[in-house]
Amino acid sequence: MTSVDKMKVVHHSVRKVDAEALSRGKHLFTGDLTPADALHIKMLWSPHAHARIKSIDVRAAEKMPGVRCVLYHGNVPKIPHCTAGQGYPEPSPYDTLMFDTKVRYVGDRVAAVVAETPEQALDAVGAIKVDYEVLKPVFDYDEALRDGAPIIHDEKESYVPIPIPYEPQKNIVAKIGMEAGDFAKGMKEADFTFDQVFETPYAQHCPIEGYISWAQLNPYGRIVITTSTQVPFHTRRIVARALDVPVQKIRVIKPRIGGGFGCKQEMLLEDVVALAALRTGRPVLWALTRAEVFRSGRTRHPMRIRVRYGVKKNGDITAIGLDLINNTGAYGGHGLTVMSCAGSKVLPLYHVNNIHFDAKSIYTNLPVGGAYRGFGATQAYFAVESMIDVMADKIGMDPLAFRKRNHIVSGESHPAFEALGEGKPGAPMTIGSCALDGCIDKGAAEIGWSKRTPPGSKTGRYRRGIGMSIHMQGSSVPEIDMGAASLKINDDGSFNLNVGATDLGTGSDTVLAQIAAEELATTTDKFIVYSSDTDMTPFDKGAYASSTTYLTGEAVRKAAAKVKSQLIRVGAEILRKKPEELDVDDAHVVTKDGSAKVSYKDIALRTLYETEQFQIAAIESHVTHKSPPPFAAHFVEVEVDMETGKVRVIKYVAAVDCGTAINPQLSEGQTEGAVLNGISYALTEEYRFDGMGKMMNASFTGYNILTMRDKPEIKTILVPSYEETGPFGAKSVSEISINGGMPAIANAIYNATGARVYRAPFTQERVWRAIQESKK
Amino acid sequence: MKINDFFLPTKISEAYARLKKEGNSAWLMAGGTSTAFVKSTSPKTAIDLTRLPLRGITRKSDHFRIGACATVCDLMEYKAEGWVLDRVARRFVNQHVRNISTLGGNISRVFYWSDFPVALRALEGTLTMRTSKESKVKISEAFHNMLAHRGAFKDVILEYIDVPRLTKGMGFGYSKETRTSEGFSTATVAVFVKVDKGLISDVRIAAGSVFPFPMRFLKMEEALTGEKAEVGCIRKIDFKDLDRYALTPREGMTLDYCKHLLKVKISDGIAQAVAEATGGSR
Repeated sequence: MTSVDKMKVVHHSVRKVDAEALSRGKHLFTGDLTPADALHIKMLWSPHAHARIKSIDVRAAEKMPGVRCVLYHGNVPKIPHCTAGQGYPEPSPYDTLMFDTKVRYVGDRVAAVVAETPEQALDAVGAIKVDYEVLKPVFDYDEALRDGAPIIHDEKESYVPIPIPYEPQKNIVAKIGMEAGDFAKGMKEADFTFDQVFETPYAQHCPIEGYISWAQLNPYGRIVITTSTQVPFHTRRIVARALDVPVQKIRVIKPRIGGGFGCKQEMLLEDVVALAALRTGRPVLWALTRAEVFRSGRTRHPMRIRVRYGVKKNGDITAIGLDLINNTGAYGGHGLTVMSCAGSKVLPLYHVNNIHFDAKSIYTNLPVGGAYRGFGATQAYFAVESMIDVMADKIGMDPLAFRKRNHIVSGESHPAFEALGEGKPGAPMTIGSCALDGCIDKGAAEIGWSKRTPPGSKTGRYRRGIGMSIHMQGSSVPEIDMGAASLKINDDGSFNLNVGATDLGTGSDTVLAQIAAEELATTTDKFIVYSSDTDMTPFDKGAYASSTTYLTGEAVRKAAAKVKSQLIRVGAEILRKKPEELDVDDAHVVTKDGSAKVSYKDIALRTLYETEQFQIAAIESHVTHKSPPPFAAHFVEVEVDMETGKVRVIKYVAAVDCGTAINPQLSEGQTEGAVLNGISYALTEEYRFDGMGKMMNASFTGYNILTMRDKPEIKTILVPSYEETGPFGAKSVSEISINGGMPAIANAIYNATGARVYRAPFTQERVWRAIQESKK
Repeated sequence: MKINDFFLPTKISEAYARLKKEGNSAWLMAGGTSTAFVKSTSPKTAIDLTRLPLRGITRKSDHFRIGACATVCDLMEYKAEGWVLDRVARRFVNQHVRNISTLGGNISRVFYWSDFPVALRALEGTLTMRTSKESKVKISEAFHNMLAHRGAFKDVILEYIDVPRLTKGMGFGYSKETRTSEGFSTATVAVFVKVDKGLISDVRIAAGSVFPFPMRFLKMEEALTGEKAEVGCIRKIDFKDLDRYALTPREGMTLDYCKHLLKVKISDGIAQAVAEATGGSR
């Protein structure tokens, strides 16, 4: 094990490499870079949740001032594809056409107008005449699965590119499950059994920069797409398929990104801007309004989760059963993998020998689910961690002690790691680093767990309670996703670090530069980091699955190690020493005894201009073989108004084991952001639909996302561990901290009031009703 | 909201003349925040009122006179004995919006009515408006005017608002519920109470958000009048009276819960007002 204390760059909160340019408001984002002569797209969205387009007349729109073209199902390629930005072939159905003759939710594409100004495009959208045959919509789980329910994907073209269960005739997008031990026997062995249903809602990622893309043709006729995406390489591949053009003809550039949280792990705009650029020969911009982002962007999948548990009086958990139904909305991207993660990132947390897991993703005529920080685990943790408290309460054990007695530890494995993969079997794994006990102990001390009192002891209108939950996530998708990095030296001893990994504002460019700098014994200011550009940077699967630091970071470390060996080899010639007598320090190749040294600059000048010339450079790739979980323990104190049901978070403590925090300040930032994200998801955010499936509160004023004014005291504690398989001991940190909001707050509400909530968000009315129910 | 012309008058008479000339295409504007909420596809001529002398707050013998273009921030920062609108201002969205939103705009543009109109109904504020001649109307009359014109003043410029100055024996309670700190109100209640020799001699209870226009609860007021000024007086109220009102639940609430919430907010408002009127802590 390497001591992080000796590291000079890693485990230090160095300044973000893009901080100055961002804080000075330089033109760095997709919208900033749009050519002045770009055309603008406005989309005619479906007003119906489920309808067939009997006829569409775009002639009037085409003749309107400023209009350059109108795209609709009659004049575009009809190639089924999947918009989810996943590895190839995607474990999601190819159920989407660029434009279709059927619309499947309010906000589905009908026709795009390309015009000189947004106003002209919008005017022309109003001139398109569409005759719809309105079909019966499906809005809920039971209706979708009912025999004889309307079939949302009744077209023949849709299919899955790999052999996974897909039954569109039954509105089933995917199914996955596993059994271990004997669930029924485990339930029989229990002293107490539990059977409870939980429901989690839709949610929006709400990045400050919404969806935006523009495309233009370069002088050689190639399509250059500049876009706010988490997955430039997947986007290039999917656009090529949707347009039926070679990948070679497309270049995707990702500039700075104003947040993603999973919603941009999708190809949503790029096919249309690319085709519009091809048709018009002009640059074409498409930026969604906030209402469009809410209605037509991607969302967190709502889930209904049935949990069954068996537990003995001594605290042994004898069985767990999880039955999930996952609403993917109108299209099925991520439908399988979100369910898989709801199992594989949750079930292994506790020792249970008898396991039943069964999950179905279903189509409905509602907005489309996608990737969202936590990716299924967040929903499942609400159910599982609520029930852990319920069980502890039943057997009279402190919930903290119950968790410590049962959670997974270093050196242990779990069948779910292998059984629940992403379109193929998962990777068997033994837990390496695990500082979960440390997280629990430190978090408990910070929140004052020892002073926690039972719900029955509280009186008065405003009652306070403390709750907790523990979690794990993963770091990368093992044996599937690949990251790569290229590194080369310049004349002055600086380096170009090119990565396909996608910094969304997370700071991954900085973290990757720190890893390279640590390996090369120099500083991050010596790195020119460029991400991402499909023409210029090596392949990377993109920013998702908590993988950039662990996966791409290791590719960067390997590339830096190769460059280091080249530097040492040349340094040895200059210093007339053997390579094994040398090391690197402070941007020099040095003798181990400190008697001589030569700078990287001098080495670069020699190799570029003088003797035995060659480019010191390396390109390295990395595929992970395991997905080491970060662990976390969350604690929250709430105050509940017993009269109205309003919940106020007083203090939130997130203790996280992310291995080595490459940049502690960025890790804390990720954690605080995810915690507030989780509190907001638990308490206030909500999609409200009218009876026709239209979201009624599609704006920041109506959606009720928390802002910094609502932020309670949040205390982040980074609990160190060292993951031997990660770069300098690192695991992931980006997703895990959203998992605690719902269960920890639900448990705290119970501790304050004696009332338990099973459905989120915990609106005032739901909490008030639970309180009334608990009084009966 | 698309604005295709902009007029910046320096006299009220100029503004009024332009308002008459433009007719339906005129758009009176002060802070401008309501343009985010008002749906209008036809282009408007903005008549910007911010250069008019309508911003100050003046203390009079028994009331305060507030220019219609006073910002919410002005109201929040104003300090004087008997001034209570700072309590309303403090619960208004956020500081960015308080810096530019005006009292006049909040009264004449924002629906559902909550915030200041609710407080002004409880306080019986009066509005002075420029029509063809200056006219003073009580806030209650103003909302009838707005009701008649589908939620907007018609052909008038709101000049200033008079609000009573609270003196000894008077109390004001204000209780606003929101889902987030910057969210729209789901229920707002304002209560004015006057106590004489330990008895409630005058009480006005107003609520907004759950109605398009702020409502007064006259039966509840009647039930409290003459009662001992103490928190227990709330027991005299028959909350079944709420059944008579057509409530509009917000944010997905059920009607049942909406009524319950209103009941709690009314109780809170009365408790605050009584506490202040009797010299207790609010």
